[in-house]
Amino acid sequence: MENVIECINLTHYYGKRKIYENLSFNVPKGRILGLLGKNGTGKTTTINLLSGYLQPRSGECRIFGQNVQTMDPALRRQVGLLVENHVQYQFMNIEQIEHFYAQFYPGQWRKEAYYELMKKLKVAPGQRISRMSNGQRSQVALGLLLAQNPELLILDDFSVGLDPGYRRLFVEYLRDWAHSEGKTVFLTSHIIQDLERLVDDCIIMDYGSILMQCPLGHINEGFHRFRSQLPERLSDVPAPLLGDKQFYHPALSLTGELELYSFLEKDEVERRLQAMNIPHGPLMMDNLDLEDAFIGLTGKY
Amino acid sequence: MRKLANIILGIIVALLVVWELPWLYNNYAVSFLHGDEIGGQPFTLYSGLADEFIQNTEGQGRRGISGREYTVEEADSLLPFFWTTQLVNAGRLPDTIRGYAVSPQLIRQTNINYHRRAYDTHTNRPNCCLWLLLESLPKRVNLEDPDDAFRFTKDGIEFINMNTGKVKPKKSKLFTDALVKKGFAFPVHELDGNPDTRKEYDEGYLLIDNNRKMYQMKMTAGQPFVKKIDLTDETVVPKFIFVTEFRSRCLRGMMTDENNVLYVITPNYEVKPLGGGIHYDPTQSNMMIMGNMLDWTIRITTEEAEEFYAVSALDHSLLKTFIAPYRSNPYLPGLHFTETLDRWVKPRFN
Amino acid sequence: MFYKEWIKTRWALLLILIVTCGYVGYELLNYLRAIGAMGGAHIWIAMITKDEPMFVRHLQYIPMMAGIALACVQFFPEMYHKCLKLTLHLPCSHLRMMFEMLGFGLVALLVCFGLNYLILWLGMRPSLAPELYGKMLLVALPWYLAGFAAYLLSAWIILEGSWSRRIFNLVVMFLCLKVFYLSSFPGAYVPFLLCLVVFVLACILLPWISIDRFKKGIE
Repeated sequence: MENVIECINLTHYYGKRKIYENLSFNVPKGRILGLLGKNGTGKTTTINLLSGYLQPRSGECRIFGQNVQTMDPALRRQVGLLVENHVQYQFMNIEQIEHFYAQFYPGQWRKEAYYELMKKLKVAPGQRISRMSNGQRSQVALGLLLAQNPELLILDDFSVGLDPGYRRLFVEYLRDWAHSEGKTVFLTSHIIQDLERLVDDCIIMDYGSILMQCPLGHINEGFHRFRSQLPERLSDVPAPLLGDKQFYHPALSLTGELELYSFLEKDEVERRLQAMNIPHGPLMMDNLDLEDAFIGLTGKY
Repeated sequence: MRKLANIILGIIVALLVVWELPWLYNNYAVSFLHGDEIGGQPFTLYSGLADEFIQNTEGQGRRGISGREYTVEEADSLLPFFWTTQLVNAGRLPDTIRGYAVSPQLIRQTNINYHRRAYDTHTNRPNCCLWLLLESLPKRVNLEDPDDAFRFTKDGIEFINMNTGKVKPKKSKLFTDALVKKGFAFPVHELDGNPDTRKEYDEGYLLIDNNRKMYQMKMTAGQPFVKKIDLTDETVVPKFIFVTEFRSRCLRGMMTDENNVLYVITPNYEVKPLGGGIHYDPTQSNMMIMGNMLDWTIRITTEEAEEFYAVSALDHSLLKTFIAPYRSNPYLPGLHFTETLDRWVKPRFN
Repeated sequence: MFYKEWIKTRWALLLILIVTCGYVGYELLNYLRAIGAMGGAHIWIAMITKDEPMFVRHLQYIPMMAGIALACVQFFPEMYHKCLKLTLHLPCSHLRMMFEMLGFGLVALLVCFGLNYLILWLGMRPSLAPELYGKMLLVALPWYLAGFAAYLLSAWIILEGSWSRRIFNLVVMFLCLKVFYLSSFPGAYVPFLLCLVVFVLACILLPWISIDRFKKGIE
């Protein structure tokens, strides 16, 4: 499959603090890919590297096969960028901003897509963006992206500052547009439920590296939480459990319940616990939503 | 493009550094580090009675260039034309000095105090090229401001009514004709005049024409007065010309030639080298003359030295010379935009 | 690009125009009042004999402030929430975009300053010889050039992301602008004007350093 985004061996530091080393990933055409990670794992850094506003210490980001630092300006027509906080030119109003952007995208600008979304906003055409609420601003930014109709969208934390209604509106519009037109989207959000409704694939980042990149279904269907009451109270998680790479973040609750996460089948978990000689009560398996799965994979701390 | 932008920034910063750092050093550090080397000569005046230059020393003393020490009272007596008031108050002003009868009034009338700074020279400053010609025979005692200004054109002189901004054709023609009649070749090459009405009399303008001939032009009773000033030595080419208008009327003016030799123009329009040919470049040096009825002290400050000349006021011959080279030059070279010698703002490195 | 700059700056430009023309008008009024009170001849004599920037003296720092104000109005919104990312994401060469933004500002200042000069010229021409109003227009010329330089150097500072570098830039700007105010002797700058024009033109490239650093994420 053709890759729209290719990041090859990215290494970046802020001063002496390493963000990541030799990070590589690809985003195939037509997929919506969400970048998940705890604060400080380098999500915004990745977005900045991808949009060309940060130079990596080594490695390169390619979009449509071109290095973003030296990309042909005309190619930017096919890349839509949503800047953090849905920033748009504060000094313009709805009509002015549409008029301004339209001249840069001749032949591809879809004025009606923009105004269709704007009709849903209860703002006067002459109202300046600086006087709009966050939600209204997000719709203006989204409308402009839809009107630009690029092949690739890069969205930096689109859910910041939005109430649930606007978040839902944003997600649905974006999903319908991307799926109906076969567009590629690369995004981050700190609200994982939003991603669950939107993304096809996800990359989960841990400090300094990528924990996994897989289709969302792989996590939804295969990743579970296992719980079991232990007969005797233990002060620490048994050491063999910590050594098994297939068990994510095994932990003991205050009531003495063992909790662990794994992609393994229930029988296999049972078999491994027995093999480790860990006495336990009946093993329960919980299905997880993406947020729980994310915590299961990355840990609470 | 980034490289070019950084090169430009580098050049700008480098220029600012070679401008500001030497400036800071020269203005603040030099007086600390080399305070004793940078002072010029103290006040120096020629005494005809002692036949030497006498300087103020630190404190209250006076000293001759020969090394001889004087008390203040002695020095006052040796410089009676300068310390006149002091001597009158002390009742010590003699009736005659070197055989010439003197009085406080006569001394005041004949004393000279003349400064010419390099930045006043026309080439060292921007000129708007409009001039004012006073009536040298005013109806009342005092000189009065004119109601017109004049400019030189390439083939004449033009008077402009300052209240209407219109050219006065009649007066313009009158003066142009008067100049042409005396052989003046337009356009004017150099001119000097002093339109200050507080002075005691008016000598109009001294002009050098396109053929490097000197003229005097003034207005008497509304009529042009033009006088060609002939040089006895035909090989001398005048370069700069100065109106002096000393109270004593002992000169018409002064001039320098192409070789920077200084000349005086006597009341009867004779041109004589001053002090037998003192060199003075009006574009590079400042000149101060403090004189009296018998002798003048001329101080010329050049780049290398302070030069003092004593000349006779009677026949303009050289009496004494004292050249005081600067002790050292502790100043850092650097970029400057302004200079004390001229009024231009332009980059120069020294 | 001009459209965005126009929307961003139009009210500020109007204000700058009113203030600069107001100052010029005020100076002109003083001049006309002096002519009325003392007569033309008196003013001519003063202008011929005194080497001072009479009747334009108060204009000295006005063009510089106009340049700084325009740069603030034009480039602070670009740095607000890093809006410059949007601008640089437009499908045009970054260099061209910068030149268009700066070109807009320079042309706006040129129109404004040109109008100032026109007012001065029209006001002084009827009662002064060309030598005299030329002297006044000439003395103001470095100040107006300082206006252009201040605009470009301010843009360079505002677009810079790192504070320590901004302070360095500010010192450079201060010293550069000092060069335009070394003398108010009418005509003193004549041999230097061409150099100053070249300097102003060279300054057009300085904001590129800031933009380049912005693109590298240097803060």
